[in-house]
Amino acid sequence: MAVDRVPPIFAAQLNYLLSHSPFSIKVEQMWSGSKNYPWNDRFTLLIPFCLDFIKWDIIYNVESPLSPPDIMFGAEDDKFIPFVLSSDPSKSPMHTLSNWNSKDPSRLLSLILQLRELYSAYQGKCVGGVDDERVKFEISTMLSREGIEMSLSSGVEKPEEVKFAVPLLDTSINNMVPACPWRQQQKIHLQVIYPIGRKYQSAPSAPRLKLVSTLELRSLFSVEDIKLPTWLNGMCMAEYLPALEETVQMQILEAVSLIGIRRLFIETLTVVFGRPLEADPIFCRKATFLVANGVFTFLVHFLLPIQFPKKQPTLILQSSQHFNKQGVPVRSPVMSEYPWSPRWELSDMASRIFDFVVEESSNFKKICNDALQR
Amino acid sequence: MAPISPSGGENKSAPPSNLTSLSLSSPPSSSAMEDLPLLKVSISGPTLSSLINRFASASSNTEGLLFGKFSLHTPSLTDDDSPSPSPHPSSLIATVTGFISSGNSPGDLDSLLRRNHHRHVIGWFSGRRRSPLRPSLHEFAVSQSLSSADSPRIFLLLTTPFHDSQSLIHTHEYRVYHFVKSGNCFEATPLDVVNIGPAFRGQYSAFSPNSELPCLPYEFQGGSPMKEDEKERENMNLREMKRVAKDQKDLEAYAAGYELGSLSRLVGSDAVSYVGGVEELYEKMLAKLDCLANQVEGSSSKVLEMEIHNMKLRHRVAGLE
Repeated sequence: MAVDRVPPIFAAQLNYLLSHSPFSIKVEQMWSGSKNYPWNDRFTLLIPFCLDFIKWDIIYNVESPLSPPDIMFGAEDDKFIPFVLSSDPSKSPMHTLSNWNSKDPSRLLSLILQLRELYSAYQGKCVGGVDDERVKFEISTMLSREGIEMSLSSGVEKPEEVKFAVPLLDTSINNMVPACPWRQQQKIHLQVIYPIGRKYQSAPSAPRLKLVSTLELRSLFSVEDIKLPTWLNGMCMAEYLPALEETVQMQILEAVSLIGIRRLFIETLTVVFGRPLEADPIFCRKATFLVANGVFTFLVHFLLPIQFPKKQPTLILQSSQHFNKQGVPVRSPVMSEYPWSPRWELSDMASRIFDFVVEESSNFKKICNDALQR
Repeated sequence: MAPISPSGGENKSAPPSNLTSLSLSSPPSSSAMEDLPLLKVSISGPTLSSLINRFASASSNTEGLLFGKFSLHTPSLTDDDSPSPSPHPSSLIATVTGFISSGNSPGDLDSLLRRNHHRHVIGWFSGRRRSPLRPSLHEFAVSQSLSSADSPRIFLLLTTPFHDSQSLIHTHEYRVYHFVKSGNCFEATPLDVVNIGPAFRGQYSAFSPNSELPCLPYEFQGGSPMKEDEKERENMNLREMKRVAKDQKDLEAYAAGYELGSLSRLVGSDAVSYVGGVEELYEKMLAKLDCLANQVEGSSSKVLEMEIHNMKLRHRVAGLE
C-alpha cells in the first residue's frame, strides 16, 4: 500500500489507527481526490464487525489538511447517519469531529471506535425490530452476554437473516500461551444465523452454526477440528452454548499442552541431529537442522502439525551447495510419507527420522546434481 | 399570476398546473410549506453547467450555496381524468437560479450564509472528486443544521466516478436531494434541466426577474406609516433621497455616451451622415468593456495569488513541503 504518498499529517493518524486498534483494521484502497496534488488523501477501511467487515471511506482533503475527515458509510446503511447524529451529544462522534485536532494522531482511531460502537448499537436496534419470535427470545436471553454482536442482513435477492456473533469463553486465550506473541486478544466466536421471514413453516429450521477463530489462533489450533454438538429441535442459544464452551475449553487446553510435547520432540531431535539452526520457540511448529553426509551438506526443515504427535512432521530437504538458475537453493519435495507411529517414544521417532533422512540424502543428492546439469 | 397552458413540446402526461411564486425569506406560512412535498428541482442548463464547471476547476472539494425560489404547484381541478391523482393537494417546485461557492476554503458555508442572508438561499451543494454518489456524514450533518434555520433544504451533490483517470473525457455525476426535516432523511428528487427551446416554452411565463440592479423608475416613497416622529421621518427621507441620487448617478455613468438625444439621430434622414458618430459610440463602448475586462483580470489574478499563498500556508502547517 502506498502509505508514502499519504500526506504525513494524515499518515500519522492512519498508522496510529492500524497499530493501536484493539481489532485488526485493514486498508483496502487509497486514492487521491485532488486535482493538482498526487497525495492520497482518501482511503477505504475494512473494519471487522460481527465476523464480517464493514467498509467505510475516510475522506480527508489535502487542500485543507487541518480539517477533520469526512466519512462515507455503506450504501445499505442509509439510516445509520441519522442514528449517529441523534446519539448522546457528549459521547457523539460529532463532538470529536467538531473539536478535531489534526496534530493528535490518536483522533482517527477514537473516532472509528466511537462510530463502530454506535454501529453495533444501530444494528442491535435493526435486529430488535425484526418481527420474529425466536430472534426476540434470543435477544432477551443473550443480550447480557459481553461482546455479543448482531446484524441484520437483507439483500434484494436473498432472504433476510439475523446474524449473531457470540464470543465463547471468558478466559483469555492469550494468557494460556506461555510467552504469548499476540498483540490483539485472540477470540473464538460462534456464528449463529437465523433465517427470517418464513412464517408459513410450522417448525422453525435450525440456525446455521459456524465456529470462527481469529487468524493468528490458527498457529495454535484449528476450529475446524472441533465437532459442533447437534442443535436439537426447539433449542435456544442459552441451552446450546454451555456444552460447546466446555468442548472448546478442553480443545484449547489440549492444544496448549501439545506445545510442550512439540518442544520436547525438538529437544529430542537435537540428540541425533545436533543443535538446530533455527526453531520456533513459542508454538514449536518449525525447526531447521544442518546435516552433512560426507561432503554433501544440507538443511532439514521440520514442520510440525498442530495435531502432533497424531500426525507426523513433514520434512523438506534443502541443499546448502546447489542452487538453480535463479540462485535459489534446490529443495526436495515435501516428505510426509515415512514410517511413523504416534505410539512410539519421542526418542524412537527422532532416531527413525534420522535413519530416513540418511537414506533419503543420496536420492536428494541426485536431485541436486540433476538440477545443476539442467 | 397567469396559469400556464401546456405548450406543444411539453411532456403531455404532466398535469396542467398553476405556479405561484413564493419567497421563503418572508414566510407567512413557513411551517405549512415545510410540510409540503417537493415535486422536483429545476435548474437552467447554463446554471448547471456553470456549477459543474466550478466543480471541475476547483482543485479539490468544493461547497457552496444555492439560490432560487420555491413555487407552489397545484394540480388543476379540471384535470379529472388524470390517471393517478396526487394524494397531496399541492406540492412545491424548487428552482435554482444561481449559486455561490466557497472557493478553495471548504467548510466556510457559515460565513457564506451570513454574507448572503439577503438572498433566497434554498439549499447548498457539495462537490467531491472520486467518491460515491450519496451523502456523507458531514453532508448529512450540514443539511440537518441548515434545515433547522428557516428554509434551505435542497442538497445538490456532485461527484466524479471512482475510476476517473483524469483523461481527456471528464465525467461528472450529480444528484439532488431534498432534506426532509420531519423524517430526518434525504429523499432523492428529480432534477429538471430547463433549456432554451420550444420544448421549454412553458417555463418562460413562469419566469420572474431577480435582478441585482436598482429597481427603476424610482418612485419616491415616504417612511413607514408606523414612524410617527416627524423628524425621524425627514431623516429617512433625506437618506432615501441620497440613495436615489446615488442610484441615478450610477445609472448615468452606465449610459454615458449614448444619451437619448444623440440616439434619435440614428434614425431618419440624418442617419447616413451620422456614421462617424455611431462609430465613436461603438469605440467608447469597446473601450469601456476593455477597461472592465482589465479590472476583472487584475482582481482575478490578485484573488488567485491570495489563494495560492493560502494554500502554501496550509501545506506548510500540514508538513507537506
